[in-house]
Amino acid sequence: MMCSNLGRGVLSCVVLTSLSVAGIAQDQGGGKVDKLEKKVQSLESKIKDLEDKQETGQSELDVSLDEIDEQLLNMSMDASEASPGKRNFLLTGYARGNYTNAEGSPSNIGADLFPIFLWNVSDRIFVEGELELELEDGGTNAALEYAQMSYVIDDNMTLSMGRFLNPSNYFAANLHPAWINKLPDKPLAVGSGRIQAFTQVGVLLHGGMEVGSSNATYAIYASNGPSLKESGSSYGSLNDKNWPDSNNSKAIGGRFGYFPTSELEVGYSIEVAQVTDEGSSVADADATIQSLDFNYVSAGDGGTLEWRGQWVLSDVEDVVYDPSGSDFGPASYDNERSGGYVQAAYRPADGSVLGALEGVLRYEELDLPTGAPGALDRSRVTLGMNYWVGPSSVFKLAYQIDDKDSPGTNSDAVLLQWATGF
Amino acid sequence: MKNTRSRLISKLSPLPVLMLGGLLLALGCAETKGSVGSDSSAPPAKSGSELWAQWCGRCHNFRSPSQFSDSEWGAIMFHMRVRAKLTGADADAIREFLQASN
Repeated sequence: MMCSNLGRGVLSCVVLTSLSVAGIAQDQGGGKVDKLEKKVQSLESKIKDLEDKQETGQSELDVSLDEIDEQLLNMSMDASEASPGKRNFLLTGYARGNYTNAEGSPSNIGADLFPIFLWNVSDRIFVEGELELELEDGGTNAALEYAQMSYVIDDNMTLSMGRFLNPSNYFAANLHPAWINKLPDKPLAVGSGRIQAFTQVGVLLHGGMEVGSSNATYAIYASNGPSLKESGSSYGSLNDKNWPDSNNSKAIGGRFGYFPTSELEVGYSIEVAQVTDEGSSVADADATIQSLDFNYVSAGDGGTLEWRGQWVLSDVEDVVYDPSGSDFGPASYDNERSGGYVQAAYRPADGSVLGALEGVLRYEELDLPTGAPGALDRSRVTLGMNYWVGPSSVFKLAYQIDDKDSPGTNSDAVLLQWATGF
Repeated sequence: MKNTRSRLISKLSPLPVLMLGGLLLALGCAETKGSVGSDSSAPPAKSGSELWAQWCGRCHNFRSPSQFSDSEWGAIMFHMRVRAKLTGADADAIREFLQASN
């Protein structure tokens, strides 16, 4: 009985234990499943988050792209509003610094600024002007070099009015800016001691044309013209400031230029003007000023060679100055003046070691009439070497040999200049 | 001191000789556009770059097209048309070349 009870007890324990194990095992399997289920749910949740984020990111990207498009549009509108439109305007010009050391004079350093204003008002209307701001006598001298309006009539004809560079004076019209002129100073006859006007105040008709297989240019003008100095230390010379008109008679002039080849231009100009003032004691007199010029520029593998030349003849009708004899007269002389220059320049080809250097040689003369007060024939030879730091910026060094007729005193000089066009 | 006429008679001024010599030298060195007896038909129109090379180096060094904007080149080319007496067609072709190259 005890054994059967014991057996019955053991069996019960075994059964109970088995059932417990089974239950535990079942619990453990269910727990794993729960864990797995929870893991799956967690993964599903994360995937959903990622999908949500992706959608959000795409939305944000779309928003960013929309914002960028809007900003670009605004910038484009701002740029359009800021642009000058068809009325293109440009402030340009050039500047120069000079050092001059001439025999018989103190050496001197100077600086000048020449702003140029360009307005392309419309397809046919153009306005331009150049100021001269020069250091002079301890102060600043401001002058108007030119100011003209131009109207395009057609492909070959433009009408201009105002103060314009003298088209008869090729150097003045095309070569005088300091960054274009190959030497630090201007030629005597057409620049500083000139016998041909630098500017005109009047009306100008000009343009270019094809002549067969060649090209030609023309300019015709009517201006206030020069006036004759009838007294003072330089009587007989012409005052070419030509404003205002002193005798109700306009000067008529013009230049014709022809290109026999693409490298060579030859030109002839003439100007005729009555030069005595209205109501003057000096009899009426006309002046005829003629000029010949040539310009040759050849650029190739061997470098750039330039030949230029200009010769001017100014002939004023003979008159009697101070006819009453109350001052220096009566006096008269054959009033014919001539002068000009020939210039050669050579610059080796770009890319070579010497490509930034340029050699220049100029010979010039100024012949003044016998009997003209204080007038001395003069000739000069100028040798120059330029160093180009850029297409429009140059350092110039020149030595000038001066030869004046006696009793004049020769004045050889060393000239330095830094000129920049901007 | 002598006036121009007597000076030329008594002593030949070198300036006219140099002028004439320079002109003859230039004519001798310069390219010709066509030989005698060549076809009389008009040569083909030049491109903007060819006209730029032909006209813009006559007086000054070439300036890079990138130096100025389109509107600035518009103003500059009008100025150069007036200054150099270019035809309208040549000025427009050069301007378009510069604006395309800047």
